[in-house]
Amino acid sequence: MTTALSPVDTPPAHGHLILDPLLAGARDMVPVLVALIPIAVTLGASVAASGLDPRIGWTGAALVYGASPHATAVAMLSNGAAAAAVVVAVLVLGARSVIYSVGLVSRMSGQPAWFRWTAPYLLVDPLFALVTSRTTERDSPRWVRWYYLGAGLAIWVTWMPALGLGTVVGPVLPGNEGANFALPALLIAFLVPGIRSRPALAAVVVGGLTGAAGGGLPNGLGLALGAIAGTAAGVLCERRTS
Amino acid sequence: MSDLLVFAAAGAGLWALRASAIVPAGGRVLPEPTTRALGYARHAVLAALITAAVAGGHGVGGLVTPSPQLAAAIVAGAVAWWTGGMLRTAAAGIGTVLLLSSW
Repeated sequence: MTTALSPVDTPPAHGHLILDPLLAGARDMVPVLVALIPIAVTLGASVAASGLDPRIGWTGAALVYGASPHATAVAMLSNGAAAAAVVVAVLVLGARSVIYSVGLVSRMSGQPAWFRWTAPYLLVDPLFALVTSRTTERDSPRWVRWYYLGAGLAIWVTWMPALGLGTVVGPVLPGNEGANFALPALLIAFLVPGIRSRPALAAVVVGGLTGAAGGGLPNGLGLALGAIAGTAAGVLCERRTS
Repeated sequence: MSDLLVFAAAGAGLWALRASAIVPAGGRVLPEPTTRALGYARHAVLAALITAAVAGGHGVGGLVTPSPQLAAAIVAGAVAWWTGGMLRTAAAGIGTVLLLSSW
């Protein structure tokens, strides 16, 4: 992955004030995009298999922008979960965005209001990772701003069409059982690498068992109970081990 | 409430979380215990979603009764643990379900 020059205070002598950082951000994001396309197509196929109107599922990806929260919302809505439960689950899954938001504060000082209001929409995991690793507080606000937008928009204009493609081709692909399992498989991919402590493992075990036990309850109540019980187990385990 | 409105409400909340420090640029930080608890909540929610899908409404018994979905979840979990890759995990899980369902 290459990075264009990161100017301090001033743009490159022969460069363009906006295009240079915009294209640098998009270019640095390319390897991530290659990995994201099949995931978006798979998620799109799972949207088509979920029973939701594919157009609403696709539009939902633009509204709930981010693979994990969107996949969760789709799974819960297709299971008949209550609206409040879906919103709470999305907020819980998006909680780490607060950490990302805080991590970007130093790069947001000196930025215009329009950017500070629009930038959060694009703030997904790979964008945070790239921007915080490829820019510094010493870079000019203009460079950081257009680099961020270049990288963030590159993800968006790749993710949304690829997901749309998945909703279209998903139903005609062979192996319906496979498509039905795409969403749980993606959720497993989101979950497992993050289990790095006993309290986290306790949260997973208790949350999972409670969720399965309450699978037949209406309005996604089993999921809510699983979330509460799992969280409590994690906190209690943390207190015991510390 | 229609599904689209639910997406919109969830998206607005998600934006608020992402904007919480950026828009005011003041760097307000959640207390450390709250942050950790939210991390456990994330684990619990995902686990509940996965087990509910694997059990298929059969309760905890659905997690001990052999099925293509259970086998696929175990395989996908192992791949996720060893590789950490989303694509490999999804491919392993979907492939296992397809393989076992075709028998």
